Amino acid sequence: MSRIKSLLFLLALATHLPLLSATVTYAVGTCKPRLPSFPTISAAVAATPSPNVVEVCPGTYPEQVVITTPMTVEGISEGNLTGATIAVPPGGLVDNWNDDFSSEPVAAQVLVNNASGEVNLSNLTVDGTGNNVTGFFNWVVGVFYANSSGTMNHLTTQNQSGNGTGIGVWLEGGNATPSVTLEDSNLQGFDNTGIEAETNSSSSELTATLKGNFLKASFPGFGAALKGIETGPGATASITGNLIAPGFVWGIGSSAGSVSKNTVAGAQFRGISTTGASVTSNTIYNSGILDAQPASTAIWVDSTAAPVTGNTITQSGSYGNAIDFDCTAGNNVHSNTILGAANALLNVPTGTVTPNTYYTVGTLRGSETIDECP
Amino acid sequence: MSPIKSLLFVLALAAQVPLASATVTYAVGTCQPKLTSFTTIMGALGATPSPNVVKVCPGTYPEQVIITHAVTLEGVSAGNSDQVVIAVPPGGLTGFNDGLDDLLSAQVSVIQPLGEVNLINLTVDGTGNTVASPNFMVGVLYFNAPGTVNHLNIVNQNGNGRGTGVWLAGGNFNPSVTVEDSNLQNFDFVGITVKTDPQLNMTIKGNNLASSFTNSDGINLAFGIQLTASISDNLITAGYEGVSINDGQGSVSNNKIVGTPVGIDLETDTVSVTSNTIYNTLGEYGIGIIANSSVAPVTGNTVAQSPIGIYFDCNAGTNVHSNTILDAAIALYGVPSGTIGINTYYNVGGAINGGGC
Repeated sequence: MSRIKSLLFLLALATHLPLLSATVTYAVGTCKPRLPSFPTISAAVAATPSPNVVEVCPGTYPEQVVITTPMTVEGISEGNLTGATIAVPPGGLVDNWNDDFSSEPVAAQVLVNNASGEVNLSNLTVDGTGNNVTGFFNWVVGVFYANSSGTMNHLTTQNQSGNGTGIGVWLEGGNATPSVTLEDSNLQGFDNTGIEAETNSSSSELTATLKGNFLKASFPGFGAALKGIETGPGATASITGNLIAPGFVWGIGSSAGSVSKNTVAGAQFRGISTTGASVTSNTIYNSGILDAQPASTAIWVDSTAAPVTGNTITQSGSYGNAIDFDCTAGNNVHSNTILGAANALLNVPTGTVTPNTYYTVGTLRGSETIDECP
Repeated sequence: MSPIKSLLFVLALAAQVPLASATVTYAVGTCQPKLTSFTTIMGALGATPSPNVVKVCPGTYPEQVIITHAVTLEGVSAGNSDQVVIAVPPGGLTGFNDGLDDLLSAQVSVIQPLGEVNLINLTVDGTGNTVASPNFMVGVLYFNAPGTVNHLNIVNQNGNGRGTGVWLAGGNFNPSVTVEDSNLQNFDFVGITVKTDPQLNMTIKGNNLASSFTNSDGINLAFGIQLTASISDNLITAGYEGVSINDGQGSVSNNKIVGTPVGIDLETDTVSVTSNTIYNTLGEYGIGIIANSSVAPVTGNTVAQSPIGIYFDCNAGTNVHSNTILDAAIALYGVPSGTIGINTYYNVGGAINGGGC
């Protein structure tokens, strides 16, 4: 190539580079006058060219948002405020999805639908107050990821409630085998489940990382059957460093992956349940002590292989069990520390070797009153 | 010294060594038949020679335990049980005056021993107590006494609004006390309180505290200019103030405090508050951290879901920085005019700086 041709080629390349790498950024609201601005989030995410970043000014946006292309939507600061609230539009929510198990209708406030790349959400509040959804089989969801990857960071979801089917964040896998992270977020005011992750598939088609989140139950009582985090089937989850505040009936349930270093306090019926996920180094306090349920337990293990080790279980009271082996688990359960339980271990199969450390425990191996092992 | 004399000397020395290091171990109950056994804990503690170790068999012991010499008192396993319960005796509990006009009716009192007293693997249950005001109903009292409280289950010290799980007081021995990996529950005044005029070094770590009594506090450093405290890795899930610091010096770090109207109340310049997690402070005026100091480091804490994240009390300033506040109506309140340290805020709907001075 001649020098002149080389120079022309480099110039042409330099001319195109900005176009290739250009980030399309829009604003919602009026706080970023130098950016193309829209009055609604829905208008910004659907604009042409499709944005890479949508910066949302502080304020309340009563709309249902559907995202189908890769982008980052983030609440930003203005003056003395930070973050934006996505609220229920006048008249309530409408159904915009059907779940992949039963095709039950879902009214999602933010729906990320088969996006071809990562969709990231940050510094947003999703408030379901006034959702006006009725019918027990009509789900109310703060944020729904359908067959899409991305990261949710520092979100608040709240008040997805009203008919017993409110869920803060629902992750559903699919043929794109997406990976989704939900971290450092606060989920409260739902009346069914804080975080749900699943795929209607016999193999895992979703990788979920759930870490550093806070979950609060606002509808105490056994009848509400509140769950903090539930993952599987068709999902592999890493559930770590979450704080589950008192008031849930179920704290964390998982079928595949790992549950580690979480703090579960005051989950009335079961602190952590596993049918295949490892359960390690969690702190479980005052969980599984529901008076009316002799099967209530801090950890319930329905797996012969999943390691259940290094957990610290502290209970107090006349009821409750620390670890229920469900006549299934065995030597995979060991090296846990149990303090103050009425019964340390329940439904342990004959011949199991399970060295744990006990402090001031009423009965080391409790009577098998529920699933009496053969 | 001739070889024979040397040999005799060595033999004599060898003969003495076992005596000098002998451990006197007693049992309480019938699960350790090879040991000298007693029917009550007080019977074992008061025996001659004085024990170094008392092993307590599973069972319920309705007695007031008073310890005045160095000893390790530990619950042991037998058969299918591992639970030793020290219960309230039928005759009630006698009081002890700490010299600061506090009358303490304690289930287990450790009073000025010449050496460490360690308590391990015991339940101290205050159910059925009839302690009346002005006395405080106390689970475990350390008065001018060093030692460690480890894996205790201290519950139900309540009834007159003065129920306290563990009460620590220092003294001229300059004692060091550790309370660790224990459960304190259903106290109606304070979970762990420290009130001391003389010296005391204390470590409170890895404990769980909860109470259904909404006016109770989790950990309270009430009084003690010569108090040095390290409060770390505790989980406090109910009460009014999670950690209340009125005096002393030291640190409050890596604790998790959930569901209290006030997470941490710092009222002194000489205690740092770092890397704590405070979630879901309750009530219209729920506050994550009260920082009533212009110099004590308040850094690296995470406050989530709180009407007010950090209350500066018109006093704190740049000593409060590098905290993360998620989901607050007002992130900072009572902020003096001037420079504010850099913190990180998410989802603050009312105001990052709510002023208030």
